[in-house]
Formats: sequence, structure tokens, C-alpha cells
Amino acid sequence: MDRSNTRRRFLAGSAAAAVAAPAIFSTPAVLAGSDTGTKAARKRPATNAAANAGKTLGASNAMVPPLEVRVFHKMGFGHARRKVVQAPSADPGTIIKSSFEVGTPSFSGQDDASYFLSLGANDNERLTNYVDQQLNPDSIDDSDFEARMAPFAGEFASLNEPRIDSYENRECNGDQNIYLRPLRDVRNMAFNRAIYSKKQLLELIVDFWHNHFNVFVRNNRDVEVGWGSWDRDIMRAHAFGNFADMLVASGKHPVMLRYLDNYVNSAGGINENYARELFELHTMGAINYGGVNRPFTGFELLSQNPYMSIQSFNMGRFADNGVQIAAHYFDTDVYQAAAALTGWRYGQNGSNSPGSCDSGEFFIDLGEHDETGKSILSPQSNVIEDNLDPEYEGELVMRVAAYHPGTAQHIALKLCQRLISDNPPQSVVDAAAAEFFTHRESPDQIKRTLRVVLLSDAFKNTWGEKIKRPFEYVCAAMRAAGGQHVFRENNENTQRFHWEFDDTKQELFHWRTPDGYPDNRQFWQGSTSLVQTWQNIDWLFDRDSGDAGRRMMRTVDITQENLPENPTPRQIAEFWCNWVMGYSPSGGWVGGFGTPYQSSPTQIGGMCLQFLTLQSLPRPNDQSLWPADEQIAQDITRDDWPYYWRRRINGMIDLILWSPTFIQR
Amino acid sequence: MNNGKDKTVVMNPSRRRFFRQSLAVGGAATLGLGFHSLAAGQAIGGRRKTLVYVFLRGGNDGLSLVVPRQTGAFQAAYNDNRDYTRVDTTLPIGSANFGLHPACQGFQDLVTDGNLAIIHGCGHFDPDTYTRSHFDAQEQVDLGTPGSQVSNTGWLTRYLETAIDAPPQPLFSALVSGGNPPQSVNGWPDVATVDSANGFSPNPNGTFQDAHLQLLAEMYDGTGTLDDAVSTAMLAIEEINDLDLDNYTPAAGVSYRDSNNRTLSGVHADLELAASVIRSNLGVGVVTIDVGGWDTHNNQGSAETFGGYYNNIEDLSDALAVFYKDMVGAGYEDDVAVIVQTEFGRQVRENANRGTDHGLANPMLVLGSSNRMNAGLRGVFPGFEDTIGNAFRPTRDFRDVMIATAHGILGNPGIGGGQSDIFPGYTYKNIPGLLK
Repeated sequence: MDRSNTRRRFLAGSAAAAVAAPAIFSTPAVLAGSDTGTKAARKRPATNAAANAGKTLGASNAMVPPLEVRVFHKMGFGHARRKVVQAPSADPGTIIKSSFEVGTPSFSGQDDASYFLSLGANDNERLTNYVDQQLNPDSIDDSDFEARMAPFAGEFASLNEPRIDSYENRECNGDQNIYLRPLRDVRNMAFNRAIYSKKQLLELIVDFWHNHFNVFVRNNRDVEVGWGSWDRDIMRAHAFGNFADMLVASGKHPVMLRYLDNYVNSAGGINENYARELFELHTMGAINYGGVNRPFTGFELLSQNPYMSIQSFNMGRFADNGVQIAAHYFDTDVYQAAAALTGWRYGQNGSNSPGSCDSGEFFIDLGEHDETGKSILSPQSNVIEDNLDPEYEGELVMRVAAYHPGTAQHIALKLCQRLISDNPPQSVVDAAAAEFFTHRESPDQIKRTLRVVLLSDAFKNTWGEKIKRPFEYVCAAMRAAGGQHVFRENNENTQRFHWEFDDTKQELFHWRTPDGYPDNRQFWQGSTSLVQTWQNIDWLFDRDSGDAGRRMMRTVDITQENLPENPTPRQIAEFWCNWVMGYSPSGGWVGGFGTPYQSSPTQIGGMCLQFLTLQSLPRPNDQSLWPADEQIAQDITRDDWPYYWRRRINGMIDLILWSPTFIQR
Repeated sequence: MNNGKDKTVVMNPSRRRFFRQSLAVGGAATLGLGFHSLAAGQAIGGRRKTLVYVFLRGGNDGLSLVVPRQTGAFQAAYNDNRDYTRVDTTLPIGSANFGLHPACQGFQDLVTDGNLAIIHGCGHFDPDTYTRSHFDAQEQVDLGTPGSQVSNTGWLTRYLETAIDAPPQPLFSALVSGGNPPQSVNGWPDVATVDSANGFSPNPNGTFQDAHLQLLAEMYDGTGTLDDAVSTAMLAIEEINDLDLDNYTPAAGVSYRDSNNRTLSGVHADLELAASVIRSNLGVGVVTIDVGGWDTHNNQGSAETFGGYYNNIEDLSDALAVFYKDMVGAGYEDDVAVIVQTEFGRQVRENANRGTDHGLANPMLVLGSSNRMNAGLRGVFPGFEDTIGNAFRPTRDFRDVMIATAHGILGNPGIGGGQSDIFPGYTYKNIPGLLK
């Protein structure tokens, strides 16, 4: 069979088609409710859909799990199974899917999918109930997580430390174990929560906001010591709350003041860095950027002034009847906003010596503030009056941006891209944006917006539009395959893990630029991230695998607990496919007694069987073959010649976790 | 174009056996266009021209790279605008008015050798497309569409589509030397991203490494975009494992290592990997390298003999000089060109924090064969008088430099009547004196 040129021909063909496709330079409208959107229309983020015209997203061999599994991968860090549902039969001839079927209500809370199935009579009812539980994290019973963390409570004291203490006690201490501790604790706890907490949506959204308001944590000592407060007081405190409140809190936090240089922004020397990202990344987004020069006439206006109805904050002249508001922002708005934000400071240490540390507290340097009137987002002059209180003036600018309908579109689009697809249907984005805008003063604005997204048909019915990023991928692997490690300070496995995970290119809080880690599949499909994430998962299996107390993944333990009587390779393969995937397709994964691996009902099931038996595969030695239906009358925790059972079983689970079905979400 | 110098890369014979086996047993279950198309015994790759695209992310301060000389026409205006970031002593490059930053000995050498051209005033040329947003500007440059971000293909994707010198079976046709693919290669299927060549495998040196690789290849043998991505990764694993980078020997007289023969990280390592891949003749047509650290709002550190900017520009200059001398020495001068670009320059006047804020125009660098181009300064310096909001006004569309390099230096044939297939709808404006 000559296939030598097939792939190239195909690629060349699709590439040529992509060039010719008129869709490439089409300009979809973005700002719903505005007119033609001539400026904004060119800002729709580029995606790779049409470039791969004729190609399916994802992988041909991927399968579609049922909703009770999908929902855990899309609303969190994957499906977890903590307890077997039903002991499998010891008879190798009866290994079929029913042995592992989920759904037994008595195991609610132990097994994610069966818990979901216990929440109602049909998918819609169950999804609604699950979403509403997840949106109210304080009501979730998280005792399993708490029990895991209890032995290490003292290790995470920095997470509860008052911000002023972090600055006063850590800032001037030259010991990195002191000044880096808040960062390390936040990072370790982010993994612990993502893997073991039931508040899965909260964790996913906290990660979303960390990236939305991205700060490179190693930017400066003042950023590092404040990281516990940044995570707790900004990201977690506001994750499901009010966006404008979150924005204002973030802008006054020493971490943000430092990272985007607003702490040196002064009337005599404008530093526009923060003001630019305030518009471009935090609020209205590049999709609403009009450009460098604002034309004095003819630029697009909103049909309604969005500030007249604001009750909870004094919007000043912005709320005046007749004030017109622009649909997009321009560079002039950035410069004017930068001037409005001058004089914002935080207490910095003067001499970097112990005892002279300052507080990190927010304050205004009146002498550095530009008192003149300004105007943003409006053709009228001096909408920001002369001589306003500097703190009020800066907050006013933030709220003007936060309450703008362009911000609603931008945040809604990003949330839909996080939860649904790189190219979410505009109807869902519009519905979420409408909810966000309508409730722009509500304390539960973000929660309401998320609810619209999560209960949409697009959320419920899509699968595989995205791939897991390394953080989601590694956490999902640990959730699916018996991870038991608690990440913590002064632990060698934790330290080594972070070294390894760094290679995946998603080390938490280490994206340098303020736009945060990209959230599209093309970026994370690069070979570096794919291969290094697979390697990271494999490393987790290997690490201390011979030590039952320290091993990071309980895979051999789980195998023994659930298949206690000398299982066959077929039983092990069937069991682990079900355990990791969280379900079984009709007909099972591997096929019944005697079925050759080539005839397995699923590709991944057949591969698992082939791997355990090593048929037609490179193998360490000729003695390592084992028949598919012969009981392994040996200790499977052993890892020596000729069979290497422990690494062999782990290697098989690697395959399931590396498979196209598992990588997607 | 082969010149009879091809080093034919044949995959490790034992692995080739696995693929053949899996083909035989895969049968009806796996009939794809992925990994398996590499039939046993077939030569992989081949020599071709390679465009190396170095992107300085963050907005390089071009005024600190191509610096007005204290004896030249722009001395007064320059000194008036720059204090803490002022560079007083420059390296001459045959211009009365401009010299190079003193850390750029490597660039100066390349000019002397006839391999480096510097084009003044590049940027988003049409005033309607001016932008000082990093992310807009970068995306528009990567896509090659100033003022627009709706293209689904990057400009290098279109370069690869229009290049006709691809061998029948390139191992992979684009290499991203770094963590993740930039948007310049959006939509191109076989992009290998390789950050660290060490242990680049899902299960490096494990007992079951080969079994894993074989089964991974079968799993992803379909026709989806992820299938393409994974099969490219698999091929990259094969090749990177064979490259033996630790023992890479550059051409005589140059080294990617420091004075103690220690491996350097960053752009040196990225370019060493690129050089190794290019000289292995795998069929790689495009290499991209991202270099960060140019967004110098605060304490830029360009004027000192040490400082953030000083160190960054020194690394860049040194590494590119080593790389291009390596290419010349190995006989690849006519086959390799480099473009060095950033999303925009910085403001003319430094800010109050000894740094510089976002500007517009900035010089672009082209490294190429002295047979095809003239070295030295080209283009029109925007001048200090006619600025846009304290930024240099672009005098040259950045696409002109891309077109001159792609078609003029590397011979990509997709151009006629000033219209390049890489930039539909754009008409090339000649850069006087650049091309031979």
C-alpha cells in the first residue's frame, strides 16, 4: 500500500482551500446592540476554524462520554472515582460493563458520575441541580477534602495571614522560604483543591480570574509576599460575586499596583501601563478597541447611557441626562484614564532591611495626582470634573469601564470560551452578556452569568471543543487514577512535581504578560505541552511507586482492592478503562473472554489489553508475554524481571489518560 | 535545491519495524493519514530553504538598538528625549547618523560580513491601523494583517503554503523553538514545538517507551487537528532523540556556549536547536523563536554596561551572530534567512520611571545571504519632528520586509506584479537598496 504522499496531498489540499476560502477575511460583527461595529468588528479573536476547513477538531478516535461524565470535565478538573461501586465478578468470562456500571445512589458523594445521576430524573433536572450546588460552594459538603488537609493545617498558615502581616514580616526578609512561602502555599493549595475538593466550579473559575487579571508572580518581591492575599481577597472573595467590585479591589491591591506600574504613575510622569490593560484586558477587551486616534466626529455611540441607572455608586457627570457614551475605547481614553489614576500608591519598604518594612497598604499621594478634569468614553469634555477626590476618581474610571456593555460582551465571551468552546455560539455569548449587564450592580452578578452559560444547550451538548490545558489535564489524571498526594511545603515529591510540571509551560501564576495563559486548543496542541504533560503524568505514576505510603497514585492499591483474586489482563484492562473514563460504552471496552485485542469493541480497550499482554509490541524481553485470559498468579505490586507488573499496569493507565477521549473537554 | 548534499534521515530501524507491524495488525481499525504514512524504508525529509522568524515580544525600544550617534544629525533631539536610557557610545555600521547599541558586537559583525540589513521605521503603516496594544499588535503582525485579527491563518502558514520546495515527506515543516506555537503558524498542521530537547518523550527511557510511542501513534492516526498535532509531536520525538544535541557541532569558529563551554539557555539554545534541525535536512521550512522581556516601562537598563535591556540585546545579538555564522560556515547561507521583529517600538521620550512606554515604528532586522541582499541600514528614519503622540511615525509597512525576505531572499515564488500570495490584497512597496 503506497501511502507515502497521502498526508502531504491532503494537507496541501486543505491548506489551499483555506487560503481560497472567503471566510478568512470576513468580519463578523461583535458588539451586539451597536451598529455596524466597523472598528470593533476587526477585533474578533482569530481562531483556527476555517484554516482547518474540512478537518474535524480533535481526534478521529475520540469517544463522547455521557453527560454525567462530561459535566465534570467541563465544569471542573475531571471525573473522580473514590470508591468502587460494585465488586466485579471473578469469572473472566463475565467481565462486561454491567460489573462497573455507575448510578447506585448509596454511593453518592463517592463517585462523581453516580452522584450526578442521583440528582434528578433526567439530564436537565440533574444538570440544573448540580449547577446550582456548584454555584453555592459554601453549601457543599467538602469533608473529604477537609479530612485530607487536616494533617497539614499548620503548613498553610500563610493563606489566612492578614495582608499587612505578610508585607511587614516577609517583605524585608531575605530568606526565600519566607518571602516565597505565600506563593508556594497558594500554588500547592490550588492543586489540592482542584484535585480533591468538591467545589470544582469554584476552582475552575478562580483559575479563570487569576488568568483574567493575570500577574506574573515573580515580577517583584512586593508581588510575591502579597500572593496569599491576592488569591484570597481578590480571586476567591469575588469569584462568583460582582465584577466591578472585583475590578476595583484588584486595582487597589499592591500586587496589581506593582505589576502594572500604577504605583509610579504620577501627574508629572504618566505611566499608562495599568490604564491600558484596564481597558484592553480587564474590562472592555481588545474586541472593543477603536484604535489610536479618536475621530472627533462620527464615532460610534451607545444608543443608551449605561450609567444613568446606577444606584450603588455616584457616577458623577457620567449619569447626567444627555451625556453620550462611546461604543469603543481609543488611546485617548487610555491616556485620560491613566491621568485619572495618578497618585495611587501602596506602602513600600524603604531600605530593604528588617524592621523597615512597610505595610503594603493602599494610599494616595496627593502631590502626584493630576487634578484637572478629564473625559473618557465620551465626546463631552470634562465628564470627569476638576479636583475630584483621587481615590474616588480612579474608582469612577474603573466603574465606568466595568459597567460598559462592551465589558459584558468581553467577559461573557471569555467565560463561554472557558466553559464551552473556543468559538462559542454568539447566542450564548449574547445571553450571558445580557445577564452580566442587567445585573451589573448585583452582588451575585458573576454567579448569575455563569448560570446562564452552564444551563445553555451549547454547554450541555458540546464535547471535545477544547482540550485540557496542562493544569486541568494533570489534575484530571490524578482525580481519575487514584491520586493521593497532598501538595505542600517541605515535601520532596511536591518540589519535584513542580519542577516537572514547569516543563508543560503552564506553571501556575508564571505567565509573564498580563493577558494570562491562552485559552484555545491550538496553543496547547503544541508538541511541547502535549509531550511534557504526558511525561508529567507518567512521572506521577513512577514517583515512589514502590512505597505504599508515599506513592503519588494509588493505582496498584486500587487494582488489588477491586480485583482481589488474581485478575487476568482482560479484567484489569476492562476495570481501568471504566474507572478512568467514568463509564462504559454499550458492549464494554475490551470484549469478553477470548476476544482478541484487535476485535475489542473500543480502540482504547484493545490497546490496554494489547499493552498488558505485550502482543505485537516492543517488550523488555521474550519472557514478558502474558495471555489475555490467564490469571496473574503473582504479586502485581512487584516491578521486576520478567513481567514488571507494577509499571506495566501504570503504563496501561498512562495510555487511557493520554487517549483522545480523555484529553478533551 | 538539493545540491547533492542531502543527509537522508532514516528512522531508527527498530522503531520502523513497530510501525510496519502496527500497519499490518491495525487493518481496518486504523486507516488514517497520520503517523502511519511514513512507510518503512522511505527517506524522510530533504533539504529546503528555511525562514527563521524571531519575535521580540513586548515591544523593543528600537531607539536603543539603532542609536543616533553623538556626532550625527539627530544627536540633539535624541539627547533631549533620552536621559537614563541614553546610549552615548555606539558601534559604527557605515552610517554617519546611526550606530548600534554597544552590546551588539554580534550584529556589527554580521553587517561587516554582509549578512545583516536593518530597515528603519517599520510598523503598521496605515494610520487607521495604528495600535499600541501588545496583544492586538502582536496578533496582527503574526497574522500579517495590520488592522485586522480575523484571519485564520498566520503569515508563516501562508508562506509555507506558497513555498514549493517542500520535500515529498518533510518530517515536520515548521519548528517552534519554545513552549507553544505563535499565531504566525495558525492553521498549519505539522508544527513541532520543542522547548527542551532533553528527555522529550512521554516516557523517556522507560521500560515501555517504545510500546507507548507505537500505541500513541495508533491512537492519533485519524484526520482531526489533534491527530495532526500528535503525529507531529511523535515525529519530533523521533527526530529530537536522534539529533543528539549535546554533541551538535557548529561550523568552525562559532559556539552556542559560554566561555566555559557551558550550555546557554534562552535564545542561544533555541537557535542551536534550529541550527541542528536545519542542518539535518528534515524539510523544515519555518522556524519561530519568541524572545520576551522587551516591555520596559520601568528601569529599562539600556544605557548602563549592565542592565535588563543591555543583557537582552547582547544575548540576542550574540546568539544570532553565532547562528548565522554557523549557517554560512556549514554552506547554508543561501538557504536560511532570519527576520527579527517586534510588535511596535517605544515612545520617543523616556518616561519618569527610567523606562519607555508603547510607541509605534521600529527597525526590523533581516539576516540573509550576501548573494541576495545588501547589508547595512535601509529605509527612512521617521525623524523626531513628525511624531504621533510621542511615537515614531511608521515609514514602512512591516509586510514589505516579510515579502522582500520571503520572495526576494528565499525565492518563494508566490508573487507577481507586486502582489504576494502571502498577503492577499496588499501591494508590495520596494525597499530601495535592500535586494541584489
